[in-house]
Amino acid sequence: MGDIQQTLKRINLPYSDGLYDWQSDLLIRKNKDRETIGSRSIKGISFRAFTDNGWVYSDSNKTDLPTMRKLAQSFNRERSDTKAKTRLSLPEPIKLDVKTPVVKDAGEVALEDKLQRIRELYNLAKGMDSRVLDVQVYYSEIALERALVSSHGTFARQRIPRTRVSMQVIVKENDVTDYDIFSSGGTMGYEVMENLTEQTVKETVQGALLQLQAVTTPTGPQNVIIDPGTVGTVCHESFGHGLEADQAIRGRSYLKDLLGKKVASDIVTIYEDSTLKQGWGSYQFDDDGAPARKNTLVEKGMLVSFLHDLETSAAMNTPLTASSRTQNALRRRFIRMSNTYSKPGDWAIDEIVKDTKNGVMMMRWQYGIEDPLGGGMQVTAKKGFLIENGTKTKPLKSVTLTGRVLEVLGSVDAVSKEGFTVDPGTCGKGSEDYVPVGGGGTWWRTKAVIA
Amino acid sequence: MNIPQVLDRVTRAQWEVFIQHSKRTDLHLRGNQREASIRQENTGYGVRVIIPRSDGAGVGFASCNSEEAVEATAKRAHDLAKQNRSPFFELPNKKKLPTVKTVDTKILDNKDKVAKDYAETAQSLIADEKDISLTFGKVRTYVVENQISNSHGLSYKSTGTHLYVEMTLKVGSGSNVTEFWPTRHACRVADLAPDKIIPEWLSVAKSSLKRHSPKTEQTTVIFAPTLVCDTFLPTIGFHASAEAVKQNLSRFKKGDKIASDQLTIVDDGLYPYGLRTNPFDDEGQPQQRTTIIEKGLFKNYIYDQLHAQTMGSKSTGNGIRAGFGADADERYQVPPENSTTNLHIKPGNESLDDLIRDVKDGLLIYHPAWLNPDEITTRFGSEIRNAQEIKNGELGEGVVGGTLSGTALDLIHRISGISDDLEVVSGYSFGCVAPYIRFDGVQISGPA
Repeated sequence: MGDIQQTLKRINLPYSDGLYDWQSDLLIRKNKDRETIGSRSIKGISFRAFTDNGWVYSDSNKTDLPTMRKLAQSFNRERSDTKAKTRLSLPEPIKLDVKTPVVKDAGEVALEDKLQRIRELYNLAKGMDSRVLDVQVYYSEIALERALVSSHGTFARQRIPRTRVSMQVIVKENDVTDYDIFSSGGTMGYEVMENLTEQTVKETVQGALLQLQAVTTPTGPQNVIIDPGTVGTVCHESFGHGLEADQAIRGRSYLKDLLGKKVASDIVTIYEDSTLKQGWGSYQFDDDGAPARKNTLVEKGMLVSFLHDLETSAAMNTPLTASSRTQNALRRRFIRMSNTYSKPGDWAIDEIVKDTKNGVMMMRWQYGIEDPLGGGMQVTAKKGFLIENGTKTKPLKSVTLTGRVLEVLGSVDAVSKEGFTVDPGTCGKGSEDYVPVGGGGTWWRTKAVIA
Repeated sequence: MNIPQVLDRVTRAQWEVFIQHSKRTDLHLRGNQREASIRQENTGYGVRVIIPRSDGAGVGFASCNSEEAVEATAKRAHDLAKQNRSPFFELPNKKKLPTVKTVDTKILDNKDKVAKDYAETAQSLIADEKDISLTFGKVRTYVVENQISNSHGLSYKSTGTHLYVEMTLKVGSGSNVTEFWPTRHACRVADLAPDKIIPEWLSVAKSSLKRHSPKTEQTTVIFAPTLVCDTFLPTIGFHASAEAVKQNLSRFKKGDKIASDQLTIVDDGLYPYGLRTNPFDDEGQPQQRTTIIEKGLFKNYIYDQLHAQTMGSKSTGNGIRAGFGADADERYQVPPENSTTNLHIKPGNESLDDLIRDVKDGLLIYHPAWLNPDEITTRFGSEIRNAQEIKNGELGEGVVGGTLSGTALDLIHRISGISDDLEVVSGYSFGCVAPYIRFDGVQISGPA
């Protein structure tokens, strides 16, 4: 890569870089009919340069030196005005070669042992109740190796392992079929399997069986108590996407003019943290070469920071936030989140429930989607409970929360001190360009439209 | 490299290799500017190995995107298969393939120019609108060559062209802003012709200039074709699959009345320029047309090779590689699953105007946030992002906010009209040919 860096330095453009990416993974799925085992090894090189016509990328799966040199030299045809360099905020060049540490390297555990554990978990869940129709156990381990060289002097490599396990228990009684899910993962090794204990399997089976009695969620505006994973989805999908500064510069963020202003209730503090230990979305440096960091987005209800890359940091005259990421070397780099979570508060969970006369509880987030311009929101959870006179009563089928983000954040009147978790998830920029992210916090109570 | 020879050397078991070579041009737009341009070339290889066992088979899959890694990938697939426990099935033998239309010669001949011309036309049309701006856009053209070979001597090739367009159209000014954010795939420019589709999108965007929230009620709702696709494909597609039957999860039984008389759906792998049209499916079976629902009656399940052989049937050409986030040129990364090709919903006899004219009070929904129905329960709940009210048979103000909810398998009993025109569409789901459909008694929840 040193040779490539010299080639980039010789190009008469204010900035260019090359990102090498190699992702290899192992995916195992087991259900009653079969096991599926797959493995991928996908690599590529992405060169980009900042020109009069914006960013120009030249990407290939071929990572041999002659191809890389040819791709880098292709920028010799491009032009850039003399002011272009001032339109980028370049980080201090880094020279780094790091690997995220794990307790038990997944690559060193025999496939046979992984399959045996997966089969045990399957059998355990399947044997817990005759109404268990099927159990899907998923296991994935991903090894990422990513290197960045830039004309500015960065020469860095990071290796990040991500391991995840999840279980879906499907139950059937008479004509009703439903399920519950459990998922755990992070920048960690095979130790993730210790999170799927007999107790969590039992709780997932019981959760699925309870869904057989679930009633349709009452619709309309109401009090809602949301679990930590769902809080993370609100912080990420509904709120965080509006803080991606590329959207602000495009005139596509409802938060554009709210920096330093009140956007949530006083008890809400939200972080965006690519340094989070074992966070699914953690890394050592972003794909612009900025070292990972913990950013405060909202401090006691006040909007503190947007998320930036080289271009938006210069445009808004503010520090880099290490938020430039790409799915792989065959995709563009965009401003993205890493791990987004809320700070714990003062309430006990039981106190929040007892203090809620009527409403719903939302649990097991499934998905959410952004509305960076409009500030609308949609977050869907697999299940919930009706709250009646301060008590959890009937189980609910899937619960969808909609409304205006600022109204929902502004209505948060209780944040729990317990239950802090950051769940693994996948985020697209729109419906493409997927990167691993984490989302979480502790329990919130707010008001929203529920369906 | 002679890949079949490599595979024969690595394993004496059944093998299959699926190869994709692609070239992409991506243009990212902001207003009249270009934000980024990306040129990309990639070749990927997906290898599946099936080793017989006394209790079935071991099936292993591995993929890579480097020719030098093909032998190691084949060994990896073989090693994974040795540990795996699955039912045994035979890979397909060579058969006569249908002739289908998958190539737009304009994209094939000069994808760079098509992308540039498309982007410039779109930007020009949007710039002419005073209340609307293009905050972000993507135009992508790509050409994909697919090749499949297996240990039974089967060897097929095909070529497909693709166009992807995404636009975020900001409407209004100051604090009174909203947007329409369409994304669409097509195999030829004619199905997304900018001089036709951009004015349609601008019209939808403009309808939100004056807007209000919906009220909570059960009402008549017309779904636009992309929404029909997002509602039907994950749910009807799943419950019609042999895999769902095998898992005892399908709610469909042959001959049962499962929908309104007006609904006929065909899994159509041969639809001209359909998004999943190809002479062969992703494990080498000829693609075909399979009637799933005819006048409300469930007719046929769709089968891939595995489920056909383990359930005593024949493959219907529904072994499809469609992993989460896998684009048309990234399918080599995932093994085939039992899935739909193009879900072709047959048109009705009324125009969209007719469907609207018969509604006293209702909504036409173009775009919810993300419907994403649960494939098992078919439940959905999604915020309304772009809709128009219908009052006494005429379209009125925009409707934004509130929630559309229900279950897809209930919804298909509530059809009261289907439009007579069809579009090759994708929303979040990929691969439909769909009309506008009107449903009665749909749950809408307003914010107040």
